Amino acid sequence: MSPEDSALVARVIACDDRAAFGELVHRHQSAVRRFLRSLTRGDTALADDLAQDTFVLAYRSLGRFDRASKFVTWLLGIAHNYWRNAQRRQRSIPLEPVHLDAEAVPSATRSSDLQHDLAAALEHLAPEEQTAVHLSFQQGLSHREIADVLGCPLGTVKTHLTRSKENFVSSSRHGIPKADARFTRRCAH
Amino acid sequence: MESPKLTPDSPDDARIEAWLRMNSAAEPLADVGFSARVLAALPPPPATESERRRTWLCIVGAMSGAILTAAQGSRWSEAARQFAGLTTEFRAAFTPVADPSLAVGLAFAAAALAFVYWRELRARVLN
Repeated sequence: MSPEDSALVARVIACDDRAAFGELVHRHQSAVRRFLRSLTRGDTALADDLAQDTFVLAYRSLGRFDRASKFVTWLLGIAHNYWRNAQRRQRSIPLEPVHLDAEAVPSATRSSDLQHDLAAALEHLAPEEQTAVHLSFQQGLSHREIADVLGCPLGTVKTHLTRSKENFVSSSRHGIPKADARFTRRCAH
Repeated sequence: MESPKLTPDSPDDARIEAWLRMNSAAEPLADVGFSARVLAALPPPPATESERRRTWLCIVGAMSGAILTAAQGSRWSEAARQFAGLTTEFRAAFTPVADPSLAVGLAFAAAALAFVYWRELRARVLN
């Protein structure tokens, strides 16, 4: 049986076991890269660069990892912070993320009007709502874990998810969701 | 995975949840050398206590040797003569190795050692 994340972390901290850290990277690279790809609107090269820096940063601050929490949640939190700092440093990085790619939806699914509207609605959610939806549905995190990753109150996460769902419902009934106008305002700023 | 509303209250809600779950069911990204690149980008491991001690010993030894050499500067010719004598004696000591039977014996011994420690040697070379 492969060792738990916490056991690998302990080995890295105790004796700088790079093979153990390599195993941690191998286990969680997909989640971190996918999260950053979604934040960078599918810019795979930029996302992989950010992911690499995220893991190096995680290695340097491994001593601060709280072993009561999940390692992948901690990593995604670092990735999110690193992404935000990178945004501040370099404004050329796209500001508005698209988390779930409408093109990834099977064609049979897209053929449905409802599902086409949902794909459009997803693209038009506010960034923080998209992040919450991505972490909830794509990464499978609990509300508490999403709050930890984003560094916001649990209630805010629930609000984002509820509002996203309302937008989906609205779009399925009325076409383009009401979040569209808000999104346009954000882009203008 | 939690959902904002655990009990969908309309057929649309159920379809939305199903769509989100299906859209999210993506294959994990292949590593394709990513982990290796991360490991290569990690900071070099800090020097251990024994490595630091060895480095200081080397520095102190080199400096002592340099100082002694400078102090003995006037005796270079004598040092060169002694070194030449040492080389001659060293060669004389190894003359028996030129004996073919001894060389074969040494080769057998080396092969036996290699056979016994093959796994360890291989692990060290490959890692």
